[in-house]
Parts: sequence; structure tokens; C-alpha cells
Amino acid sequence: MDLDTPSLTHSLLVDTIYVFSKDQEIKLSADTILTAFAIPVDPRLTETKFVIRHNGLYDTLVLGYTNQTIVLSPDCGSAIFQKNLEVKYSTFDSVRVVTNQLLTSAKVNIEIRL
Amino acid sequence: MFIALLSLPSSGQDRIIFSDSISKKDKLFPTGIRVGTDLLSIGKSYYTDYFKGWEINVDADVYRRYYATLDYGSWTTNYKWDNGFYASDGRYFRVGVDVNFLLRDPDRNMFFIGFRRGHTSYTDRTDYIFNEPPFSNLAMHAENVSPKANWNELTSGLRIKVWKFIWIGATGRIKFGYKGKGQDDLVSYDVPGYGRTFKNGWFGLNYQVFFRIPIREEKKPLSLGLPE
Repeated sequence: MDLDTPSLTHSLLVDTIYVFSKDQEIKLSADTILTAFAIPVDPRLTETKFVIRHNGLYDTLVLGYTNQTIVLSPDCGSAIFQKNLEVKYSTFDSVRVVTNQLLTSAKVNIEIRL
Repeated sequence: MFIALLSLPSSGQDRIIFSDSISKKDKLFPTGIRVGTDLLSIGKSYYTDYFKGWEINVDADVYRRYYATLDYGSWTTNYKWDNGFYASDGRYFRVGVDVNFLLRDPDRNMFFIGFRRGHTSYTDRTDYIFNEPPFSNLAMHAENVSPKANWNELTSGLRIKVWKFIWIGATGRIKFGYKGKGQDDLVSYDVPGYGRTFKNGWFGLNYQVFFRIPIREEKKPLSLGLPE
């Protein structure tokens, strides 16, 4: 999932992002000031939980989605993409789904307001 | 009912009506059924490692130049690549009508244009390794349990008599109007009878050999043989 720079954004000091996948807890260290960041969803699940540490605070975001596999070609093999993206749970003040398909062409999927 | 009207001015009557015995029922009943198979499917099964299949083709002259057609086939694919594969397996049929433009050919040779409606029920699946950070070497599996698909075909082709009851033929088909159901987890890549689904408009070709089974004698119109 990518978050891009909307017209009215505030910079955010993102310290660490925890991704709770099917069989492991993945810790992504950022420790930098961001207006947008990318977080990975687990393709084996239909929802993924994220805990984002920013400015010394912790916020939780749970995203639900549907997986669909396509065969690109016998040369390129199979690929999976997610659609029907929705916010299942959030402790952020406001979270809005902008584009509900996780595609590389979709620059912004979710807009978070603090 | 075949009716011959003939004017005979020298006779006492204005008209004499001849009729033979071809009934309406006879006209709607085929004179024979051709049963054939697609040689290209057999050849493709033999010479490629990703396809196994066969197809049976049947047609019958149900009414004058109109032939009812039925195709039934089996189609199994297995595409392999470095870290995975895609496989599909199913049966399909097509029903339709051919219009013969060589109606009076004594050997029942045909040049036809036709329409088919195709349907298939099948299964398909893919296994592959997912590698996209932060995930690595995830064994992925996706499958459709009972997907179905329908499509339409415009066809054209030839049937040529080669010996007694044997005909050879070729059928070209343009497939369009594909609609698939039950593909929630996996978008089917190669659908039995239709082919690769990313093309809505797909060309197919059969090279066939037929055996004709006669059902009834075709009754010819009466020859009057009147003196000039």
C-alpha cells in the first residue's frame, strides 16, 4: 500500500511499522519524517494488522482485502493483487480509502488524518 | 410437400397436380449424421507438453441447407515456469447451426457459415513462489473449484468427400462474448474450449475427418419425362 502526498499534508515522524503477518511479526524501521509511506499486506491472509509508531505514539490499523491471482503469461508466471480494500479497525483520527485496489498504478490507497 | 404444377393445354384439364411422397416430417429428419474428430487437437496433444485434448464433432442436415452441429471435447493444460505452474482441466461443448452454401452438391460437400454457443465446466489452479519484500519464498496456491464459462463463435469452413463415407473438413472459428463465472480467487488463464481469456476475440481452427452414417434415402423430386 502506498501513501502519496495529498494537497494538504503534514509531515510525520514515523519511527517503526510493525506488520503482523500470518506467521511472523515484521518490523520495518523508518525513523524518518514522511508524508507518505508504503506498508505490505500479507497475500496469504484477507486482513493484515499494522502498528505504526510515530512521534512517540502507537496507532493501530487493520486492513481487510480480497486476494485474486492472475497468470500474466507462462514466461512471467502468476501474480497476486488485492482488491476490495477496507479499513477494519483504526485508532487514527480519520482513515479514508481512496483507491480500493492495490495496484502499482494506484498512488494513494489510504489517506490518514491525525 | 413437393408439388409440381404443370399446364397441359391439349388435355381436357387445365392442370394436373403431381406430388411425391416427401413429407414435412422427412424434410425435418436428417438424411445422415456425420461424426468426426479434430486432428489438430490430437496432433497438439502429441507434439506439445502443455496441452492434452480431443474433440468430437457431429453434424446433421436437419432442414435443407441447415445443419445442426454439436462439438464435445476435453481440454487439459499445464503451463510450467521457473517457480510455478498453471493447470486447467475440463470438458466443453458447442451447439449451433451451419448454413451450407453448396446445397445441390451431389457429394454433400459443404462450404458453410455458422454460429455456435460454447459452454464449459472445469477446474483450474496455480502454485507459485511469492517473493516480494518483506515476504520471501511464500508457497502460494490459488484455485477455482467449479468455474464455468460461456462464449459465442462465428464459424466458417469446408467439408469435402474423399471416399464413400469419409469426409475431411476444416473449421475456422472466431470466439467472442466470453463470460466466466466462479473465478473469485484465480482469474482463469486458459479455459477449456475457449483458450486464453485475456483475449476477448480469439481465433480457433479445426482440421477434421468425418464418417457419415446414412439414416434415410433422400427422395428426389419426380422427373415427369413428358414428350416435347
